[in-house]
Amino acid sequence: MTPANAVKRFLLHEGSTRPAALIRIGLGLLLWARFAPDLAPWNGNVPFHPLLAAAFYLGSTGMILGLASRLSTALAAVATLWMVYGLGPDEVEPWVHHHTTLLAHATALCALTPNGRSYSLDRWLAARRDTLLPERAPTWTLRLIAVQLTVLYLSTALDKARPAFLSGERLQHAFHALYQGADPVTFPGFATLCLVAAWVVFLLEIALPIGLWFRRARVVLIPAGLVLHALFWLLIPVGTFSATTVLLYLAYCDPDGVHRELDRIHGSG
Amino acid sequence: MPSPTQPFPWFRALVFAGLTVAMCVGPVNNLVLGNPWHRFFKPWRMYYGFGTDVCEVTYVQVSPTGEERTLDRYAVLDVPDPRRAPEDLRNLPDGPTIGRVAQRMCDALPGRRTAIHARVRCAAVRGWKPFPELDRDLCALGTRQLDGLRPARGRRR
Repeated sequence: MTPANAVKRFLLHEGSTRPAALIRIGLGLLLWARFAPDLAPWNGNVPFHPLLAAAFYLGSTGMILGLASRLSTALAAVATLWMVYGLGPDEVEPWVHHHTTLLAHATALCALTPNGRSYSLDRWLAARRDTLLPERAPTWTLRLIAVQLTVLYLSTALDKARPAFLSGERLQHAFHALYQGADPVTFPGFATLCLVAAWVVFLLEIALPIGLWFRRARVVLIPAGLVLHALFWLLIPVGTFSATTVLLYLAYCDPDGVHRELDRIHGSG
Repeated sequence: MPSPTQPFPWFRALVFAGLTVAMCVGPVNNLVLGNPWHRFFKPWRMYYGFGTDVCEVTYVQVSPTGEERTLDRYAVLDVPDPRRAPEDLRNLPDGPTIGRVAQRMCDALPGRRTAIHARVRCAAVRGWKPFPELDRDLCALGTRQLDGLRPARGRRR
């Protein structure tokens, strides 16, 4: 197969819309978890912007319910991108962190996917009109979410490729900042443990963005990624970052494979 | 499998390539080219400065004969639970804070005053940075000298 034909096949490939729908629902819930309290009118700690709040609540609710799914996702994307890149730098510093940026980017990319054909009110309403929405659509936009995650992992791995991190010292600093305070750590082997942990994180952050594109590697790497992000969530303050990242692993998976496994869970396979 | 007669999807290819390039601009600009962080093009550099406002401190009481004894600042200052200690006693981020805690211990210790030294290394983006300026009798320092003890500082992000 020539490269041009391979690209053509990639861009024209069709598959199940269920992964996109699951990402849509998961992102909607994560948006609520992270931003909903900030945008509520009772929150006096954050400047209240009525239009922004309306766009956010309408968009994110529509995402979760799957009502006017793509339009809702687009509305939520506009709201969160404005928060991260517009208001955040000038008014609300916590909105410009990496976990909020990833949420905004993922929501914007999700708006490009056919995320309303599965697990949505749109589908249910169509069924009531005796119109069944096919759960098949082009998958190229779903792969853009995987590209975003790939760029993120490779960037953070590149950032860690320096002696201070790979020696384990930066992990030691984080441990002191979060747990130990100024007291020296007397646990034997602590420095070695941090050294090993630093290299495990670094190597995983190189292996994940490459290996997740391949089915056989996903069998090992998805569980490894889940463990990695679970440990991040437990040990350091990452906000919604871990949950968002593991949700977006769906974008790497074969959509039809996901569809079959869900059928099996539903008992309809 | 797409049909060979289907035209090449140029629009999709342009959008896919364009968005991929856009996602890469931030990381390449900052991490590869070394340019400053840009508001609209983030490099996914996470926790870069996290934990750089901590120092690892060991207080040592030095007798006139040169004998050394490691001090537990919580015990000397009568703090029963270190986990509930005030922030400026638990985390010692800079030289002046380290020096002031030493002087509190000087006042709290019974008997003739002896020297209290601090063996310190502070966290920085480039790793641990020793702070030998604090390995001296901190009890003998005045306020101006304490304030002049420069820490190793990093950015928090």
